Amino acid sequence: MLAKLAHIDSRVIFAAFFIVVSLPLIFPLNLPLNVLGWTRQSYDELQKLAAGDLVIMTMQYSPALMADSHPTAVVMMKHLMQKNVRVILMGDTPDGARWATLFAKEWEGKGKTYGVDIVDLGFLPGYETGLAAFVRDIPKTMPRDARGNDVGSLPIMKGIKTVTDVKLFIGHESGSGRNYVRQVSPYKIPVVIGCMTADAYELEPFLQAKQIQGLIVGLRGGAEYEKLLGAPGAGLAGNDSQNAGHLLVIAFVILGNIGYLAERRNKARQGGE
Amino acid sequence: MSPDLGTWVNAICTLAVFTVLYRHNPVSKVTENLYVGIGAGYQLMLAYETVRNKAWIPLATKGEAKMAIPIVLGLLLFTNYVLPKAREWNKIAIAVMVAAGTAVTLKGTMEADFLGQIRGAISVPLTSFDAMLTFICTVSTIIYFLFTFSMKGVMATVSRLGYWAMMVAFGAGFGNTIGGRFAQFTGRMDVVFGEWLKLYTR
Repeated sequence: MLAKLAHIDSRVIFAAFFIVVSLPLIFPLNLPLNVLGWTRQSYDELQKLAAGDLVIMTMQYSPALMADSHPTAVVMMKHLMQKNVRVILMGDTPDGARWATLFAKEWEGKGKTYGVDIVDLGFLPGYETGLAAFVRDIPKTMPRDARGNDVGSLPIMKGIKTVTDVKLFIGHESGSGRNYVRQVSPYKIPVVIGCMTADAYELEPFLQAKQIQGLIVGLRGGAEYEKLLGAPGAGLAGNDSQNAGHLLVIAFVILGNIGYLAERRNKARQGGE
Repeated sequence: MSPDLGTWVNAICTLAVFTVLYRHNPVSKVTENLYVGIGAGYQLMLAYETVRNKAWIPLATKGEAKMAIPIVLGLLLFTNYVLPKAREWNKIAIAVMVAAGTAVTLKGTMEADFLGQIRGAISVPLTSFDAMLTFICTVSTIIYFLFTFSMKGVMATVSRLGYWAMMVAFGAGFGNTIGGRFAQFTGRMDVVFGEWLKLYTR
């Protein structure tokens, strides 16, 4: 009987996940959420900024990874705008550039002045090679913004030459977070990375070695940041579902192992007979 | 329910893709192809605008002759398809891309992955359990990869510890991957129940 647990139909598992992940969205459980040290470090880095300071925020994630990475980018952008920090937005992947455009439009609609408080530089081609050129000479690498303006004509870009002319570099990665460590960190400016949940273990050593100054991990990190800022959003809304899903994974791992052990015992008995 | 057409398309496409979990079917296939097609179209448009704004306009209107180099190299990539007799020429463009990419990455790797990590590992004071555990796991994992002599006695035990340290790290990585997938699934369900069906509001 127990051996059947090792062969549960995958469709039953999918259905269970569908129910367990969906229900907390409709009926929130309000499970407690501890803020991890690396999220607090990231928050503190943004708190250090003063009104008028300049920050670069770049995005890599595609719409497929939106649920994991976007809440973090949204809440950090909100934090920057609340502090009246000026932000240079861009995407170092084609998909990432789309978010830069959306953020610029959103905050322009909320009263920020394009070209003064925010700018959308659009897509930076060349991936890591492009990033290496960008940090060395920003106006030369991206002479025009996403709207076709000459960046030299925009007040926000006045006096900007290299990445050292900004106070903070924020990168929302989707698999290439090391690019920021390799190309931006050597310039000795604070770097904060918002990463996919899957990449946390790969980027954590850079935080411990102080090569980056902050790390915000996936949807959970976004939820923690929203809690710190006191601005509930998609992160906190998804926290209950994610926790419920994790509990179900643990349950299925235990059930699968019980099934495996029962199956092994049955085979041993049959062998004995 | 949402009156927004975009939300309807979003939610219906989400449900259509998830039908593959029951079994492969034409609905999920069409939606997958739609997603790939839209993504490719968007990237093509972006690539066109990038080449036009960053290379062609500076070359044609400002006389920046050096911009001809990336344009020519880019065109060489297509020789394989349009000029079969000159198909070998695309290797020039590929060689330039690989060489530039390797050079830039290697330069950063030395500091980021090598020197910076060593500096970080040796500069942590062993005053906490976390720091000591990190130190032990680092040393034992390095010893696991010492192949110059056979592991015996204490060294074999330490090497085994390194093996387990790596297994724990891989397990954590796998767990994080699962966590990320849940976040993505949660996001999709949020579109269906929250944005489309309006069963709740934030």
